[in-house]
Amino acid sequence: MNLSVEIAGLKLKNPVMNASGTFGLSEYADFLDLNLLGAVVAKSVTLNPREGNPPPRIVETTCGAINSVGIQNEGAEDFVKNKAPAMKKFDTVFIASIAGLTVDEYAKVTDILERAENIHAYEVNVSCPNIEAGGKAFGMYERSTYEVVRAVRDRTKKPVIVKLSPNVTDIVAVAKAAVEGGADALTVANTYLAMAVDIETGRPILGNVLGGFSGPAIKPITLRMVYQVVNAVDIPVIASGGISCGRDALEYLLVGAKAVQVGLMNFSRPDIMLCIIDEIKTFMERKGIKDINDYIGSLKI
Amino acid sequence: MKISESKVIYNKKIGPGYHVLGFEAGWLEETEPGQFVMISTNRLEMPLRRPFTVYRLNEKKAEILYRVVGKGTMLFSQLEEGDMINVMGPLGKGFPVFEDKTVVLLSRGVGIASLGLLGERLKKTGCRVFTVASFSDRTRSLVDDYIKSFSDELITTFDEDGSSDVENIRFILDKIKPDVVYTCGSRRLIRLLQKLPYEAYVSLEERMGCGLGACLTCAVRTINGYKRACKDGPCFNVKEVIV
Ligand SMILES: Cc1cc2nc3c(=O)[nH]c(=O)nc-3n(C[C@H](O)[C@H](O)[C@H](O)COP(=O)(O)OP(=O)(O)OC[C@H]3O[C@@H](n4cnc5c(N)ncnc54)[C@H](O)[C@@H]3O)c2cc1C
Ligand SMILES: Cc1cc2nc3c(=O)[nH]c(=O)nc-3n(C[C@H](O)[C@H](O)[C@H](O)COP(=O)(O)O)c2cc1C
Ligand code: FES
Repeated sequence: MNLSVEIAGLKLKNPVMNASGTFGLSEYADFLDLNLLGAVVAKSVTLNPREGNPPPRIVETTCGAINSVGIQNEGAEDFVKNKAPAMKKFDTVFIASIAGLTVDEYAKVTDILERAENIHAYEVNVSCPNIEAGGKAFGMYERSTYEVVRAVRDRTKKPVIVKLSPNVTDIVAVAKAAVEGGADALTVANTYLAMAVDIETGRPILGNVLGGFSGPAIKPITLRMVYQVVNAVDIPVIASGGISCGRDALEYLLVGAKAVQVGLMNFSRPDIMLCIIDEIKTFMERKGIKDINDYIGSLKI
Repeated sequence: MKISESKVIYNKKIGPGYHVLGFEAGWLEETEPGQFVMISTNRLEMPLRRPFTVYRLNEKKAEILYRVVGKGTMLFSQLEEGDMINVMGPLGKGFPVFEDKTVVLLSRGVGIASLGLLGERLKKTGCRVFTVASFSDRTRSLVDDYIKSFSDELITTFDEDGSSDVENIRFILDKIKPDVVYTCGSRRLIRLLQKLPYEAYVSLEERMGCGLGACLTCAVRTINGYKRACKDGPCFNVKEVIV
């Protein structure tokens, strides 16, 4: 049985990886062998350290949660020096995640990450606020998406995966802008802009007022976007949104995603990605599927 | 630290909305005072685990003392003997434990749950343990035989008669003149302790995602920037935290 997939020249052992920001290399090593994953995606990094948003930073809602971590991180230099080397001992594709508040910052972060020895590809997180354009996320517009992707593309030969924001009018238009900017693959999608309020206190629950919504509740919407994007572009698509079991992962593969990312559900079940891989195998056995690539995109309409 | 399916031994109601859940947990034996566990709701509609301090360890079982405040704790309140729960722990950094000191366990409401294991341990290390427990009224007192078993002296204070007033708590502390104070359950008490000369530690509560130190959602404000409640805490020196 073959579970391996290829994305922009990267060979993944299987189509399952974590979503950025929802996983830690050392923290999760107690629960799963990173060698068994298709890839590992690091937390997004910016040029300088960022302290993140005021707490509370997470609130559970029915079948999901809204978070507002605010890309707390130690900066790109620290990542190259102190975080990335931890992945050296694993034989798993390692993807770094690039964030920034200006186009120039994305470029500078890329330059720094290029010095790491063991990063195989970049995921560009375009859901950050563009401070030169009133704080709206780069990924909300075709033009700023294009500019960010171009900036990263011009600085690396490694595969560039662009993680789209779902907070858009037309996901296909933004996907095409990313392709034009030089993307080798797309991740669809990041979290949905959302909020939660407390009727007892009369206040918002998150310190940042607004946050990003993810978890099982969002799956049908992200599934729709993956479907639309897969049918509109020629580059591989990685799905991210609400995956909680093998069946969810298989739904995304069916509509044409080449791989899937698991986010929020890593919290309650740190070994969930291994369960998902097993469930995919069981499904393939039951259906007599020899190669997962034969299943990917086999949706009949 | 690990994740385990554990059998519920009992789930006793001990007051209005308060319960003690006992479950098989030989693997939690090494839990340090102030460390916590995260219990899964096993429901997709509630995808986050709920954090609770380990209240007591006895033989091969662990207890949490909890208050029903929302959907998850409501669900837990319906657990019965023989039910299975999914528990992750022990997690976080507990309280520092000292020997032969005069200590005060200063709790507010269900915050006393975070000081049980600590009191028992401090008693064993030769400390003189004063428990000062505050509740809104007498029907909500959570002082049980376990708390009594390690308390050399026990003072309960209430809102209904004004004895839980911060000034009165200050008066009580100044009379005891403790070497160390441990607290949980009230921001007012943290602020009080920040003003007093005693060495003091607090167990903080913050909303959590992973509980493992990875997701950075459980940030608490300290004089050294944001720290993770689940990994750098939940127990901190009160002089370090900003509330
Ligand atoms: C380290 C730690 C130890 C704790 N120990 C105890 C204990 O021993 N006994 C006890 O009664 N309570 C304790 N709490 C608080 C307890 O975790 C919450 O009361 C519980 O999570 C509420 O869940 P719910 O589903 O009933 O409430 P809901 O309001 O429905 O919960 C919604 C979400 O908010 C979170 N949440 C709500 N209130 C809190 C809170 N105060 N702190 C953290 N997260 C919260 C929940 O975990 C859940 O993710 C502790 C909290 C922390 C952080
Ligand atoms: C706590 C938390 C932190 C996140 N941090 C990042 C991040 O740093 N960069 C990023 O691209 N996405 C981040 N995300 C989004 C996830 O990677 C993922 O795309 C999204 O949560 C949808 O997947 P899910 O429904 O499986 O959680 C974060 C999500 C959560 C819940
Ligand atoms: S809850 Fe994830 S870092 Fe603390």
